[in-house]
Amino acid sequence: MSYFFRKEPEKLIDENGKRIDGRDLYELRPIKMKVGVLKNANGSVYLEWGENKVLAAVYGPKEIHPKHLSLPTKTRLRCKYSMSPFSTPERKKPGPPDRRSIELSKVIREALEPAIFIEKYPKTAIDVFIEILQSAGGTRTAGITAASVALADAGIPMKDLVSACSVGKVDGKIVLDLNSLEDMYGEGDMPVAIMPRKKKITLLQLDGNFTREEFKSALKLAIDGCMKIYEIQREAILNRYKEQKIDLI
Amino acid sequence: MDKEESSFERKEIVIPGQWIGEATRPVAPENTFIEGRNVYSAVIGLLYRNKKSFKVVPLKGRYLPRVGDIVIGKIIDVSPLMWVVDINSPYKGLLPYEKVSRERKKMFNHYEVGDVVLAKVEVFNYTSNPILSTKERGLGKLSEGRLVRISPAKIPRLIGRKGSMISMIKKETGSEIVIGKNGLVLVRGGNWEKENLVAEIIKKIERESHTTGLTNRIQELIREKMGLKGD
Repeated sequence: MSYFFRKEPEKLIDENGKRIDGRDLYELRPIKMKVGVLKNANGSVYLEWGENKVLAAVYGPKEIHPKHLSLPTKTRLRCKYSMSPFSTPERKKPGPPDRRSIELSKVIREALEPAIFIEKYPKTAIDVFIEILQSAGGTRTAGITAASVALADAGIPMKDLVSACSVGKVDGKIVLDLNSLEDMYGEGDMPVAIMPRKKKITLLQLDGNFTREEFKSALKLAIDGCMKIYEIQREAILNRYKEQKIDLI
Repeated sequence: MDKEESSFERKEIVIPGQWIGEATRPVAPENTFIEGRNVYSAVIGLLYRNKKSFKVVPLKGRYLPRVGDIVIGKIIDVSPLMWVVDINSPYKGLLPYEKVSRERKKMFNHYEVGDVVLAKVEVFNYTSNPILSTKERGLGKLSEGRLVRISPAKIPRLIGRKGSMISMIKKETGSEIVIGKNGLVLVRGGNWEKENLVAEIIKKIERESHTTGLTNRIQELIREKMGLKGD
């Protein structure tokens, strides 16, 4: 919890070009990902991204309830993004999803859906739950990254994984993967999700003022970041199925 | 076909969207998809290759009914026309009375809620739920034994190449094993310890299905365990 509770700093980038947590401008936070952590979910992922801690679980494809929501030719993908009350420095009031959570659930669903063969299981539902256990900036991208691996882990046919990361403008400079302070006091924030194989964008939001050139370089940086995330996702999946000889018998 | 099958060589674990090779036919093999002239995997699975073609066997996934599959299900509801059967799939199985027996009188009490049945998928085309049948010989209520639930994706591994794994287990342990394609396996061993042993063996196969030399390891293990029990 180094910078987690700190007040607004004077400078977000120091004279050596290092950021507040010691990173370079184009450096990701350290990422750890573990696949298959929940026994009762069809697919699950635990992700630590810097100081973000995210748990994603996928249930399904399963029978849909209530029945009238079923689609005759497609699976209905349902996403729920929620932040635990203890996930933020200031305790979040527990309760039904707030406006922010509802919006994020929607954009995450729309970021994931293009990657899934939804016509493979008609009349069914796939439920995706993303629980933010600790948040430190960029939780929606962490959620998408974790959820897409959880979907693959559930054995759901997909065209590709979805990798996401954010870029932003801090002290007039474009930086990769904003942390909580840069997110709060920076000048702009742009989360991007892509399907890495063809680099198709499935999520792009922008908060702040970017010039045309800044936007172009930011998008390029974000896509490069996503490709790095993709490698981590790939590693995490392969690690789960490394030759394991557990002798429980 | 069998010759070709046995020439498949195990290569690697693939993830969704991973490039596998050039398309030779316009139709994508199971668990893959074609874009342009390239074939990509659609699931996390094991890629097997031979000179001519390849196949992807998924490591996880839910059961999708297919016409002709033998499944083990549990009766969960009775209606005036049919039984509703949980077949461990996103779709509930329907077992109409006329698919059970020719004698109409007996039908209503034929099965009760909670009974476990061995049934065959007769009709399934996504427009309605799969229709099951227990009319054939050998199908019907399963009244004794132990049910083991494993992932449906691991059933082919449990059966083995041309049934090598399952026939080995049957022979070594002297138990009777009924496999449902939907991931349920019934073990009848005559006594409690043997059924437990077979159940654990099946679970072990599920856990280690992607490792090499599994059949031999399992055989050694069974011999060891059966030997110990004899002492």
